[in-house]
Parts: sequence; C-alpha cells; structure tokens
Amino acid sequence: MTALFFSAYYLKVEGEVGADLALRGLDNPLKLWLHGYLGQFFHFTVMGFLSWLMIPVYIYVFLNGKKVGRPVQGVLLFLALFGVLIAVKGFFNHRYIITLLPVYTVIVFHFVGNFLRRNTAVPNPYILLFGFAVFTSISVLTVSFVTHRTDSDWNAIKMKYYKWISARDHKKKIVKKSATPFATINLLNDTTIPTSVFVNELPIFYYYTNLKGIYYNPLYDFYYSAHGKVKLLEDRSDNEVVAYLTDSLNCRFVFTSESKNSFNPRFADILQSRFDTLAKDSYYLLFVVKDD
Amino acid sequence: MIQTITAFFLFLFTNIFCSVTIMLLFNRFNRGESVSRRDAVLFGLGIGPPAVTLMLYYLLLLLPGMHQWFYLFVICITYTIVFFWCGVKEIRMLLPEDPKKIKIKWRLDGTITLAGQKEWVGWKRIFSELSIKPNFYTEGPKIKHGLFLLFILVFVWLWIRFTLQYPLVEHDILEYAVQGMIFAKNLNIDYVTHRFDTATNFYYVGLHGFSFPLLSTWQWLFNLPLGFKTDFFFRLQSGYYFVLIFLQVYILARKFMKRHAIYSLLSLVVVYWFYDMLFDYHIDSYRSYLFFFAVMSIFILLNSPTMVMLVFTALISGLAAFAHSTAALALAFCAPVILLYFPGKIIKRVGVMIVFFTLVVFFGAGHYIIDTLFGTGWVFGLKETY
Repeated sequence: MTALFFSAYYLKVEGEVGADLALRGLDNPLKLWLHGYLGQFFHFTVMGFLSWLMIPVYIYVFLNGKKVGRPVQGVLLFLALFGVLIAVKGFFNHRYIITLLPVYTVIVFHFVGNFLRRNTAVPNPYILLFGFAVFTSISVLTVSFVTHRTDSDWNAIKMKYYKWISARDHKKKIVKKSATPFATINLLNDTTIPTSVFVNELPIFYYYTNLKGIYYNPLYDFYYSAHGKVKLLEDRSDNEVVAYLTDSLNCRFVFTSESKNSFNPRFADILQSRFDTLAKDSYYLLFVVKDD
Repeated sequence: MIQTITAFFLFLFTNIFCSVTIMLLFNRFNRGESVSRRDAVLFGLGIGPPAVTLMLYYLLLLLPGMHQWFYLFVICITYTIVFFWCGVKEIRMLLPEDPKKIKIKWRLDGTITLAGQKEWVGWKRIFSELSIKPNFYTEGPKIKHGLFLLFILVFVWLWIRFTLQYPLVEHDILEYAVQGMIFAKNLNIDYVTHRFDTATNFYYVGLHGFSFPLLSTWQWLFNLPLGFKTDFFFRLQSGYYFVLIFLQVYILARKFMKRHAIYSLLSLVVVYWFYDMLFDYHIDSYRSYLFFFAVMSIFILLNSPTMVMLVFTALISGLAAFAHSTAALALAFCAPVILLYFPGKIIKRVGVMIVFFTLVVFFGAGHYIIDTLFGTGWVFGLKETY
C-alpha cells in the first residue's frame, strides 16, 4: 500500500490524460487511477486511512445484516453507492472525496470502539485505541508532508498554514479600507476604461470592478458570449486575433495572470509580442494593445 | 469596521438564530422522540443559511423585482414569528422543570450529575460540564467537554483571524460570489440556456444549485441599500461549517464512547486537505456538513420512521442537493435505501418513497429539474464540470 502510494508521486507512466486532468494533478495514467478513480483509497492526504478501515466495516455489516440492523445497512448501502459515484463521476476533484471524511470517521470510530469493548482479551482497549489514533495520525501527517516537499508545494503549505500569522500590509488593507491588495485591480477601478477588458478566466475582475469583461477560457480556447462558446485562436493568425479583440470585441485591455497564461502558450505569446504590460502585481497582469 | 460589525450581526441572525429556530420547530413536532432536543439543536446549528437561501430562491423566482428590503423583511419576519411561536416553549423544554427538586451530586473526579436523571438537560448543564481533570492512570482519561471546547476555541480563533485578514481571491468562490451579486442586483432568478450577465458580460460556469451563491445574494441584499461593500458574512461561512463538522463528529462519537470521543477528531485534523476547508474559501465545508446531516437523518428515519422525521429528512436532503450536484445525484440512492430498509410492507415503502421525493423536489432538488428542462441542461448539457 505504501509502495503504491509513493509510486503515484514519483513514478511516471507514459500516457495521455488530458490537459484539464493534468492541471488537477492527475498528469499520468498511474496518478489518474490511484489519485483519481481510487482516490478514496490511495489519496492519503485527502482521506487518510479511513477508506481502508471502512472495508472490514462494509464486509461485517453486509454479512451480519440481522445483527447490525436495517438502519445501519441502509446507511452503508447509501455511502457505498455514493463512494462509487465519486469514483466514477467525481474522480477529477479530490474535494469530492473529502465529503466522506466526517461520516466515515464516525462510523469507523463506532465499529472500532465496539470491537475493542467486546474483545476483553485486548489489554486496556482505550489505551490501544489512543495509541492507534496517535500512530495513524503521525503516519498520515508524515506521509502528507514528505510528499509535499517541493518548493511550490512548501510555499502552498506555508500559505495555507501561516497566512493568518502574516503581517503583510496589503492584507491589513482589507480590514481598514475597501481597496483590494492588488495593484492591477485598483488601477482598473481608478482609471476610466473606455473599452471592454478581455478577462483570462479570472472572476476576481467581475467581483472587485464594475467594468465589462469578455470571459475567456484559455485551456480550451474559447470565450463566452450571450449565445455560448466562441473560439478565439482557431483559424486565425496572430494579427487576426488582435484585430478581432480590438475591432469585434472592443477589447484593448487584457486582464490575466502568469498561471493562466501558461494554460495557452500561443495566447501568452500574442500578449508578449502584441501587447504592452500596463500594470503588474504579485498575482495579476494588465496588458494593453500596442499602438501600431 | 461598522460594515464588518453589521455583517457579523447578519451572520449571528442567519447562522445561529435561524438555525436554532428551525431546530426548535423540529423539536416542537418531534417532541424528543426520534432525537433528543439538545442534540437536534446542536447538530442543526448550520441549517439556517441553506434554509434562508431556499426561501430567498423562491422569493426571487416567484416575486422578482421587489425592493431589497422586501426580501430581507419577509425572511426575517418569518423566522422571528416561527421562533416566538415555538421557540419560547421549546427553550423552556430544554431547561429542568423544577431546578430546586433536582439533586446535584458532586463526584470525586470533579464532575457533577443530576440525581435520578440519565441525560443532561438545560443550558446551565451544558456549561457546567466543563470539568478538566486529566488522569491517565485510572480508567481512561477524565477529560470531557472541556478539552473539546479548548480544541474548538483554537479553530474558532484561526477561523475568525483568517476571515478578517484574507479576501476572496480564488476562482471557484469568486464564481459563486459574483453570481450571487448578480442575483442581488437583478433581483431575479431566471432559467436560461446561457447564464450570461449583459451588464458585465460575466458568464457563470457553475453547475450546482444556487444555495451557496444565494448566501452572497443575501449579503448583497443587505449591502446595496446601505451602500456597504463588505463580504465578511459570506467569507465567514467556510470556516463556520468547518467548525460545525467537528461538532457533528464529536456529538456522534460521544454516543459510542463518551470519554474517548475526542480521539475521533484526530482523523480529521491529520488530513492535509481537511485544512483546505478552513484556509480556503470554498463550498466544501458547507456541502460536507449538509451531506453528513442528511446521512444522519436517513439513519434516524430508518430507526424512527415518523412523519416528522420523514419531512425533516426530506428537508435536509433537499437542502444538501440544492447546495451541490453530488448530493443531488446521490438522492437517487435514497430510492433503493427506502425500498429495501424502510420498515413496513412494500406498498408502504413505495408510498414513503413517493412522499420523500416529492418533498425533496420542493426543498431544493427541483432546481435541477427546472435547470435541465428550461435552463443550462445541468450535467446533461455540453459544459465543463466544475
């Protein structure tokens, strides 16, 4: 089990999984199976060992139906079906797996507790339970932090655990003023923008400004109109794309970020070659089309 | 600062007062039969916001275009009336009938019990059980609610501090927030093939029910007439449900092993992505709480098949479905569960199933039917899943 878990992080199996799945961390077929379809069992940073502990519970309940009672059977059938649903339809998002964490915790606690109470041969069962809980906790924590030991992941961990300690000035502005911590957003709010803005899949634009923006999906290269999706780059040269943005969509500005630009290298190249950087902050970029 | 304080009062009204009101209403009809009064109130401390958003949904759908204060007034007055209709009596039921007759017995380990009573009752008793006396050399630890409350206080501190400092910046939460703001500005919910806002050209790509975006709507209905810009109420939700999940797990774990229930929380705190619910504004804690509540309701319904419990289970299941598509899809699994495990003859089970699904549609799942037939097409339409 441990070998399979580590292999998911360190081994790469060749194969296509699709750009969207790759962005979600399922970037090779092995990860797709272990962290995707079977994520309930092998994505330890999401569920710990709980799903494995549920297997004997399921077996026990369905073999001893009359003993456990129909309500318990009913709930476990529901949860089993839900688990299958997550595996089949929700495999791409680890957040769906975590829905089961609290309810599995209670069920495992109940059955483990019952087992320990009934087996009087077990010396001091509560100490055993406590020891098991501590061991499991340390194991899962260790695995979690070991597997996240890359620069970007350490930064992500630091952001998650320490952002509430941070005394950065831009965060305090949220409490004191209504300005946002982003220079690009503030520039958009302070400047009169005569045209629409081409927004690279960043809903923050619509939340913090009152401007109009064309909403673009860089991964699949389409923008959203009142009638649905419209392709941007397909069948157009770079010059035609810029002309389309400025003339047809009335967008001389592009609001984007480095990470969103990385989803579509051709779009990023067009921004670098045909647009000037108007503003930049820690996260976002604002481009304006170059005057010919 | 004034905006933050008023948003906090909105939070107290929606999350605490409305939740307690609904659970007191449940207690009034349930009379402590299927589940104890106190457990029902504690477990249901998160039911207020989804119930408020369901009411708001119907008001915006059926009575669009009214003033923002109209929607606020109708919902606030409804909950206030319900509270006073059943609340005062039900709160009294939580207190001991005649405190003078109850003998209080001090035990050597520092805890107190009510002589002749098996269960703790009354608000005073909840707070009086704060006995912390770790003693690992006798039969198990003697730490009770005190350790749990200390545990919760740490996470409440983290939650409030994070919420005060960190703005909405992530993609998914902003999608919900923007759509909620659009509902508040337009004062209308309609079903269209493409959820495109002509004022901003924003296109909503979300597939799920409107419960979570309507929390943002609720906030902005309050903000817009006053000229406020705070989203503190909306930002508080993720952490609030994160804390409630701890409470849910602890309450249930105490049913199985009273003294060692605190260990059940270890499996939550060691999971790396669990902290995502606290340090990342998202819908996960909200829908996980509702899902857990729905599962527990189904269990209690199968155990105690009363009409009150059937209606309440349908309410929770509907609200869970209204929050997220996974719960909506999971509703289909309720059919085999009821047909196979509900007590009674098959005809009765079929009847219960029909009543259950009819109520669930009314309590929020109907959104998906309307959206599939007249709107975006839901999961059957040609859209990416988020």
